[in-house]
Amino acid sequence: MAEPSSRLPVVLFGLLLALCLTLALAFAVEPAASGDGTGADGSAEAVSASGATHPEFPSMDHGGSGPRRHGPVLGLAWAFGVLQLALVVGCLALGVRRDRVRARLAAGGLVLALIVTMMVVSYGGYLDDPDAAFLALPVPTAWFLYGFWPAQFLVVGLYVLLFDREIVTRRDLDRFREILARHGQSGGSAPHPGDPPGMDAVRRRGRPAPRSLPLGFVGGPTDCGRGSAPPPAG
Amino acid sequence: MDDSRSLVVLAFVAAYLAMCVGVGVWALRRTNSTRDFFMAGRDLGVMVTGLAVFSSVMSGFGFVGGPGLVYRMGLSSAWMTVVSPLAFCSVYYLLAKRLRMVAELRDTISLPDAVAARYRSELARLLTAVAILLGVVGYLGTQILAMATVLRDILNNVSFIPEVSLLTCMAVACAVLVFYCVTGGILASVYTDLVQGAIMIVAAVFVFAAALAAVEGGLGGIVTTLVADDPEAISPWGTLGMIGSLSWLVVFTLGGAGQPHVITKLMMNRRIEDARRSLPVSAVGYAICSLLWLSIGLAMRALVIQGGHPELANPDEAAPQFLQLHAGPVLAGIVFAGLFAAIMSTADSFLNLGAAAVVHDIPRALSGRSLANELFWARAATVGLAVGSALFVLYSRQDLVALLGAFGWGTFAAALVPAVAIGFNWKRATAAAANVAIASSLVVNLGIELFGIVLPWGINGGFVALLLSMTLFFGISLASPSPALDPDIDEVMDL
Repeated sequence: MAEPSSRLPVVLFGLLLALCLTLALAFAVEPAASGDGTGADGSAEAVSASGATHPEFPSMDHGGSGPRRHGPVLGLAWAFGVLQLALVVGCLALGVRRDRVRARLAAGGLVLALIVTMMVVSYGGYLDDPDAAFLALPVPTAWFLYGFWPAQFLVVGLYVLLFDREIVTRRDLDRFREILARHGQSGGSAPHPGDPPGMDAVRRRGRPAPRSLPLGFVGGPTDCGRGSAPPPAG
Repeated sequence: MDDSRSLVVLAFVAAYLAMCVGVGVWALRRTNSTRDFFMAGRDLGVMVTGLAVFSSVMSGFGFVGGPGLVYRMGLSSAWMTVVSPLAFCSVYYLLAKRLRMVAELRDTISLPDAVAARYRSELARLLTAVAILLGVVGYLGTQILAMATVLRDILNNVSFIPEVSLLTCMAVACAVLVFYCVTGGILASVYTDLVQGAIMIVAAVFVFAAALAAVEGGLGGIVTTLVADDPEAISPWGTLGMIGSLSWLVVFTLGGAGQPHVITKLMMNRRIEDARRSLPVSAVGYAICSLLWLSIGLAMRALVIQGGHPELANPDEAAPQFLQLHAGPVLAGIVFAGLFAAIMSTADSFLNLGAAAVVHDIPRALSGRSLANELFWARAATVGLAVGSALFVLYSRQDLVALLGAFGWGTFAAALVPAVAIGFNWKRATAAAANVAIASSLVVNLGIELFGIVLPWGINGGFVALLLSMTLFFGISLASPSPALDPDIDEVMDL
């Protein structure tokens, strides 16, 4: 199968540039989320974008006013999270060659992005009513722990379900066996005809390695482990 | 701790250490070559690979530092652990196929070997080995120190044992670690990982139940207490806030595919097809262990706020104090054994990687060939690295130790995700791009730590390094002509 569409790396590069831009914007707006503010009771309160020492227990941090520090950046933070998810799923897609898997991966990524969106949206409500709960957790936290966490197993499940058909197919293994046969393998243990990939280990298991087992690391700079003479073992 | 309780804990830890020695003896007979020593004869089964991958990720940090972070920051650090299924997906989707194929095709015995084969570049091999070695020295030292500190606390809690010094405990911890790593190499390491992973899973399940039981009202009681004190702490972003905690997302997902102690395990499995079943083992195992990370931290924060536990002097005491005061002696014994397991399962992997870098990768990159009698030197380097790291952490400036200790996850992620995880899946990636990505990641991470730079929003330095290294990697590769690959590598990358 040929190199995957050359568009995907370009898309990933675009996502990286978008993340750089988001990061620059976050740096630029950070002072607006820190500094002196007014607490709910009208008193002055110091606000830190990344939390401050707990007023009563110095070994803990305190988040302070959520609306004050997050109000101006909810959209930016959402974009920051979703762009990262897109980058992760895009990179996973680079590891598979078949469009069907990529489409399903994209669907899985979309589910995760929707959950992150719900976390951000429900967090907006949580700032107004922190007592609202779902199965004992605040609603945005419930989306995180009951939604985002298990939903990632969709991507695990895709790997398991599509592995034989789309990720490492019988054809891939046959082709790899051919490559091994043609290009040989270092260590003087050329694959036996008909051996499946991985047979080198199986063959060795049956007998102790000879003390002069070739290890194969003597070539020039581009040899990188092929065709070599062995240091004596032990 | 009372004496009987301390004895139970000591018995569990002693049994665990004895098991490690036993595995070392068993693996000695099966380690006949450097290929066995560094690659376990490429003969690992599904469960061994799956559990070794996850237990290498879960270090002492997960058992001590993780709960400490949750105690201090609320749910911010959950972004390191809750995203672990995606992290393992990154490892398996990106590396289980082509990296494993290249490893078999070229009979590589280390990650830098595979990188050199992929890029036809000895400089790439050298930079990869240097990045690994820098991380190994600092990380290994801190892991050995953590083991020694825990062992000293356990021994000193038993009244009839005379006061034991940190140095003695470090010698004991080092001796056990070195014994099974020297005798059995990576084979002993992965088989102890198997047991270590199982212990960690059992420990996490019981601790989760104990943590919920420790606070009146269980999970509801914890949440009510935390919301009343600081609603932000129990929000998904914790006290660190949205942007800071989200900066851990890509570092701890995609970054998983850059951890050398994790991804080399995928070069060791018996059959490429085994990856299908190893992934769920790794992902589920780690998810269960995450329960310990989250539950102890949240329970201890709630207990301190409620007045049910005195305030901690240091957040890292959250897990040890919880076990001392809120868990039964058997559970404490299992968890302390689990803690040792977590520390040792990561330390042994690093020890093996460091030895490969010293005796195999760096000599090959510099002189074009490996050392004669490589297996002997591999064993000698394992001893040297363990002892050297222990002395380094004992006698060097602590800020230097912390600096190199920080050369952990984020640096590996920034250095190796582009060069390895992306590079093995994209033929257009060039050696120059890989070298620039690795070098930039080292410079940025070192610079941030060295100059104590605090980024706005508490953004993770590793995130900035990873973003920069990946952007440079893609940018340089896209702007360069397609590189020539060796024919066998070229064909494997088409699969």
